[in-house]
Amino acid sequence: MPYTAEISRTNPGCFIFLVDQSASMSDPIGSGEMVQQRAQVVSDAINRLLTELSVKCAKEEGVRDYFHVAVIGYGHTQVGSAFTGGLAGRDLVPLSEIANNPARLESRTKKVPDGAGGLVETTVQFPVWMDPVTNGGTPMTRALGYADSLVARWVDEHPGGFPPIVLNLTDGESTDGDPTSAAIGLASHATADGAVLLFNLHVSGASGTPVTFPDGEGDLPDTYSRLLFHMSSVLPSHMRSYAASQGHRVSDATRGFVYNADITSIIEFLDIGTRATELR
Amino acid sequence: MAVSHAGGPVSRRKFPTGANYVEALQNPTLCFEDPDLKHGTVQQSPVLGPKAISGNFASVFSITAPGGQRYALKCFTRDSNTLEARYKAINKQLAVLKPAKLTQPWPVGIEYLPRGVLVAGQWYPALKMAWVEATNLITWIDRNIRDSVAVLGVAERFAALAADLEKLGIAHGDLQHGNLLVAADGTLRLVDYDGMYVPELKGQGATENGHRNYQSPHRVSSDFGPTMDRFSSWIIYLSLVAIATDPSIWDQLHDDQGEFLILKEDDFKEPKSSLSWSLLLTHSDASLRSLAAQTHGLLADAAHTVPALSTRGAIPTPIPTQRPVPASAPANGTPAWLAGHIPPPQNTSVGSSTGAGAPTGTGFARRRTADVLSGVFALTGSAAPAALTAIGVLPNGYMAVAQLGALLVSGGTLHVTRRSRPEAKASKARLRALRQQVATLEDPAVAAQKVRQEIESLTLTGASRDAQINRQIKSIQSELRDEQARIAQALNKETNGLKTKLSKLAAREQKQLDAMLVTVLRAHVQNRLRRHPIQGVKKLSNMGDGTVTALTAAGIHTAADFTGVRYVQSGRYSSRDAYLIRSNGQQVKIPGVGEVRAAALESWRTSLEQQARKSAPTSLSAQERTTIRQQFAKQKKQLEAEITQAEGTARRKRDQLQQRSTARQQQANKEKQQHQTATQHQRAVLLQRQAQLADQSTTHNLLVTQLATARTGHRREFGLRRYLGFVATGR
Repeated sequence: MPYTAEISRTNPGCFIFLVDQSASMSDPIGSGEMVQQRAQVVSDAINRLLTELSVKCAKEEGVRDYFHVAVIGYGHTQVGSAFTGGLAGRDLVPLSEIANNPARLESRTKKVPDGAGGLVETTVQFPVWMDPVTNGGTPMTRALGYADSLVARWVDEHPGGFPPIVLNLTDGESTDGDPTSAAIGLASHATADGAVLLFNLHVSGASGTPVTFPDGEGDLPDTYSRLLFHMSSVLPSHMRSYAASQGHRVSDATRGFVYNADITSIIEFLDIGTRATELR
Repeated sequence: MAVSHAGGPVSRRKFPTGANYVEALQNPTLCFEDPDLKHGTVQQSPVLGPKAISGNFASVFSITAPGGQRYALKCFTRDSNTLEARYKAINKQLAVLKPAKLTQPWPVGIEYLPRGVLVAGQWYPALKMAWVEATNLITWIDRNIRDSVAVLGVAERFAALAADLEKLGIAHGDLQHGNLLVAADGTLRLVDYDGMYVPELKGQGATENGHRNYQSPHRVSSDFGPTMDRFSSWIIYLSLVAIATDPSIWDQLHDDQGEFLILKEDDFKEPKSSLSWSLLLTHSDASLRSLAAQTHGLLADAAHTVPALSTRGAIPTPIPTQRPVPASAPANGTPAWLAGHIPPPQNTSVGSSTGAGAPTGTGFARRRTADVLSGVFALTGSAAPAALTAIGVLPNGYMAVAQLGALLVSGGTLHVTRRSRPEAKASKARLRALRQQVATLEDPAVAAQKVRQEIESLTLTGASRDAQINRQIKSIQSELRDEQARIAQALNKETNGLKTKLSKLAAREQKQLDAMLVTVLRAHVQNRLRRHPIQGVKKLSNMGDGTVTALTAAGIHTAADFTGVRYVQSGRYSSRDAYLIRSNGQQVKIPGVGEVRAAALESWRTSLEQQARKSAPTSLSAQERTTIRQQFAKQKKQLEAEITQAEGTARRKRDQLQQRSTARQQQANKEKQQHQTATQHQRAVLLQRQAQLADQSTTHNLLVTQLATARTGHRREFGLRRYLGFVATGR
């Protein structure tokens, strides 16, 4: 049965984040007080995902290398590592190194509910590995090609492992041609446990309600979102079960695609060690 | 596989993630209600704030209360609406356990906090537990693997713990290295009760199926019950007994950083291709072999039919740290090879070894004349110069020289007579003999040092060769795993295309059946139309023999010979020319057939076609269907055969690979055993020599002492002063 390989230090998983850093990512998203730059939304998402992954793999003695992680940016100047700070310039990095080397900790002030109906201002530390960058075009096809070479090597070295997961975060407007065939090529790499999983997070200024893990293109507002939806892999069955347990409507056709919504929950989909039953 | 739709059977809320808790716990005064926690200190990680220890369903944090008591706080990341009820039942059960009735204090106190942690304005439950000071099983084994007695002790205590659970009708649900902790006194603690079964939870389903490297491949949710720990108990017990029996099994089968002891999921799912089982089942220790065979026999059983762990007849005696007994320990303590090197230590008396009936050195025995004479001579000789000077024979100036000469002569006389005494001679001989003995014995300290170095180097070489072979065996295993994966990878690639084709076959078959029906229909219609000669149009108005002749001349003999009409603007008088379309597609202009006649011809043909369609078959005949079906069945068969062949080839490759790997592993182990036997033999010889050297060293020391004593004795008994006294007094 595919997508059941153990994720452990001896059989690590591979996570590749592709981050759109084009000029269009400087456009705003949201409305009213909540307006943010798309690039800020995406870099926050990446930093959160890296924190989440680190906490998920933390044990008594520290963060374990259950995963090797790359954050690849694509924009005007280049396609390559998007890490800042100590990890700058590196591709796949063992998770423990990531956990120990954020570029900095930002103190962020937040108003949080005090549990008694009021709000109280607190400061929390927010680890940062990647900063928002916006510059030039959107060479998404080249970025998928870059991921392709990383994935090819990984699959060759880990033929029996859990297949690599590639998560592309973008506003969808590829400027170097239709990325579909590059996406198909990327997803054609496979370990004995299954083909590479390509998921997409679409951050868009276009209207339309947020969509998480759809099983059809019906609710998607534009051609970009539909294109990204079709590029996305169908969720493996155990991931579908988790999505369902989080209250999402799922079917056999549910894909790893999120439109203007939180994708952090994807980390929860990964089983390490003890197996959950299909339904709790 | 079951997939729940539309949020599943019960609505659940999304619980905070591990990182959400890490963020919330940065402000304990805000996120907690429990006073111990609210004012407690959360343990921090080096970089990312509150230090989490995460599992798949929860993150655990360490919090020290102001009073110094340390707690583990478990924060859940996945919702379970039954969480509270389950923990209530579990807590009730644990609360009534009497420590005196347990084999060891394994339970850990828990407190369920419904309002545990406040995250983003919502309270989430948490579990407050006393922090357990103990080491997880793998870490403990890593530290104690060379202490077979300690490892076997843990195996026995584990069996006792499993028996406690059996007796109480409780099952943990996820027995594994991370949930079994070893305390400083070697007793076990059992932690993480998320999946625990207690009798009150009878009839409920499991919340988890346990760690993959410890569970029966047949375990299902409905196995939730008092027997669900049995398979993992056997696996853990076998593992502990195996590594206690032969610690090198740990080096060979446990991966550094692997999330298992010595057996893992693949060994349970595909025991046939497991090198680990082959190693355990063919081990040289008979009781380990038998326990392995017993456990191996459970792999095919349904999880709930596995019998309770039984240690009967399975406890082997651990091989103590090897200290081979010297091959032939001599009874009298002196090894044979030393004969001739040292005198036999007859009794402890010092002088006896010189033998020859000589008096034992107790001084001078009886004065001889020579002794007396030399005494007199010495006395008179020494006094002579002074006397001569005094009586004037010697001039004053010569007195000093004469005195010196006289003293030397007297001394010389005394020395010669003293040494010529037989007692002194014997003592001297004894000294000489002792000196010779000491000299003939090589310095045992140096020799012992050499032997020690040889043993050390033998141990080091042996250990490094063992480690090398263990590494080799590990690499055989990982190569096997990777190669098997590559075979599966290639097979998938090959068969995926075939399987896709296969899955599309049904649709293609239907399409062909539909197309066939269309063809049959068309043939029927054509056939019917052919039965209507063109002469039939003469019944229509405006149509006469001329037209029929013209149509016949253009090759249109029946209604089947044309399919329709095409009208073309002629340009003149804004009228249109009509072309009949022949059944071969050719367009033909018939003299005398204009727009009106053409329309009449077309409608004649259409009505005939409609009639023909009415009598047409609505489905294919059985024969036609069979032809197509057979054609597709053949294709399907062929595709399936290709898939089967590919799978067969892959299976053969896997089998061959596995046979090769097993053979290589066995060969490596054989070599290792041969080396070990040889090393043990060499070691035994060296240890024997070491023991002998220890004896030799005793003898050497004895002789050295004897020599020193003899020297002192000789000086005391046969010295000049003693001799003078002897000469003077005869005593």
